[in-house]
Amino acid sequence: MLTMTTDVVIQLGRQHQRLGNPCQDHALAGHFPAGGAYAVIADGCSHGGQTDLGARLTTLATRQLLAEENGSASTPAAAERFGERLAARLALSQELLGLTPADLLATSGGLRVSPQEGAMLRLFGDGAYATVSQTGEVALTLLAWRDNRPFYPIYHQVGLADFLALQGQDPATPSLTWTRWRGPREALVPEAQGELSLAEGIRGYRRVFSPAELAELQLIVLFTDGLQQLDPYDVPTAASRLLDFKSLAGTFVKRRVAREVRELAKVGLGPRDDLGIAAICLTQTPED
Amino acid sequence: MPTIKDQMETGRLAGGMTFSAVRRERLGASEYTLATVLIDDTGSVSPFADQLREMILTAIDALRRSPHSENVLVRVARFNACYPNGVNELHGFKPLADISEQDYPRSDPTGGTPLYDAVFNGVAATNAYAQNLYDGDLNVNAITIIVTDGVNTYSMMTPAAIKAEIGKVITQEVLESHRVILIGINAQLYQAELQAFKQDVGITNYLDAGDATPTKLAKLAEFIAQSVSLTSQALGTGGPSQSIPAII
Repeated sequence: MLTMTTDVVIQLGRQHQRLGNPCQDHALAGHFPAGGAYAVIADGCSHGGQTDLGARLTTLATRQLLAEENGSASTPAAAERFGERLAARLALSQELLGLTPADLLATSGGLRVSPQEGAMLRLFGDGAYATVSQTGEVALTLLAWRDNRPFYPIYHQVGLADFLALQGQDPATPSLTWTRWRGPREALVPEAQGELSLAEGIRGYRRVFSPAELAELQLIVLFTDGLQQLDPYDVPTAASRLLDFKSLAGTFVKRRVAREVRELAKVGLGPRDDLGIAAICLTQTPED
Repeated sequence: MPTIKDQMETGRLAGGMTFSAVRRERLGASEYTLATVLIDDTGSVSPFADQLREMILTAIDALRRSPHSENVLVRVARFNACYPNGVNELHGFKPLADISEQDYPRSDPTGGTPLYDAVFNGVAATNAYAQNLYDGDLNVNAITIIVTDGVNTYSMMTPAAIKAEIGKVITQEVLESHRVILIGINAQLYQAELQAFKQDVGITNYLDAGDATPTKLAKLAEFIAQSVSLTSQALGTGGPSQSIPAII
């Protein structure tokens, strides 16, 4: 029997801390009442408006849509249009709360895990995710948009034309690069790299895990792109440090990040950018 | 279903002393306060041993209702030269929710005062367990309270050993802070010696709780609960609670 525990951390980066700005990353994780678990991240554009709010609204809207999928209130066609539906929820929030589109420029990463169906991961924009197997092998995937211009779901409602113009219009244009490392946590090595087209990036990066694949995993962890700015580490080292959980009980992500940030702060280093992490821990327990 | 006993492990200290504590992997929070109370259980406290027991029960009960109580792990022990290594642990570090009245049996105190052994045991157990928790990325601070009605009569441990253990707060950087408080109850005769002991080994405070009257013991219970609570509220600040009362 698969049991799942979750945890998140939202860490303010030094740049925002220095300027007295709020954290523009957000993360949520937990269980659906109908069963299954979710992990969600969002990263607000630092050149947007009140994207700290936008990031929070994005995680809430993403979770809401994942819950609808989990409860089978969603059709395959609706699942395909996840990004547009997310944008519609954000636009509604914008109208209700008197926000502007600039406030809602935020990436969205959402993971839904069901012991029976497997898991679905979607990422709109940039970010990273890691899986840790039962044997301890880590696979880390980083997604980065060309020219650091990520696609934000709200573009489905406003700004899509401008975004397409910046990206070169051709939907086949390679626009989103994924890079993967693999290995023991403390010795990740590059494994592969690839590109998604503009159209595929707008549709959202997707990774499906079958129930059989889930059975081999211990952890699935989502990161905002602040993972790339954890001084003094490169991306695989940063992931390696942040995945060095001493135990998986309770607030395991918060503990690890808090310790890492505290130790780095002693030497004037640490997260330059905000960092959001959401994790689901998968434990196989014997049936009663 | 595992019991709290299954979730405890034993740590070893110098001089053959031991302590017990909840296994680190059972702890879900990110930070904890380790609170230790060591109570004189020697012949001279026998007239008010029951009241000392009530005092501890009252303190524990008050602590349960304080903020951050879920981040407090409490260890309680009695000391008496008749006990092996001078200290009888009533229970090791465990959450308040797992402490019951059955953890505090009545005692029949006899024997001399191994005060040095008691202080060493309390501080060293805290240091050892704090290291364990720190290694698990947990943030830890501590308060150790020793209640005595007299001076040391016989101990295996020395003031130098105690001083070295207390000094580990600074050298090991594992604990955010560790406040060690020595409290005298019915100990007016020994104030000067206890103050000198406090100075010699680096104990944070020596406080005189006065006579072992119901009122004073009630105040002592309140002081213990308040001090532990304030220490837990200081977690994450990097320093000890500044507001622990200087008198009881």
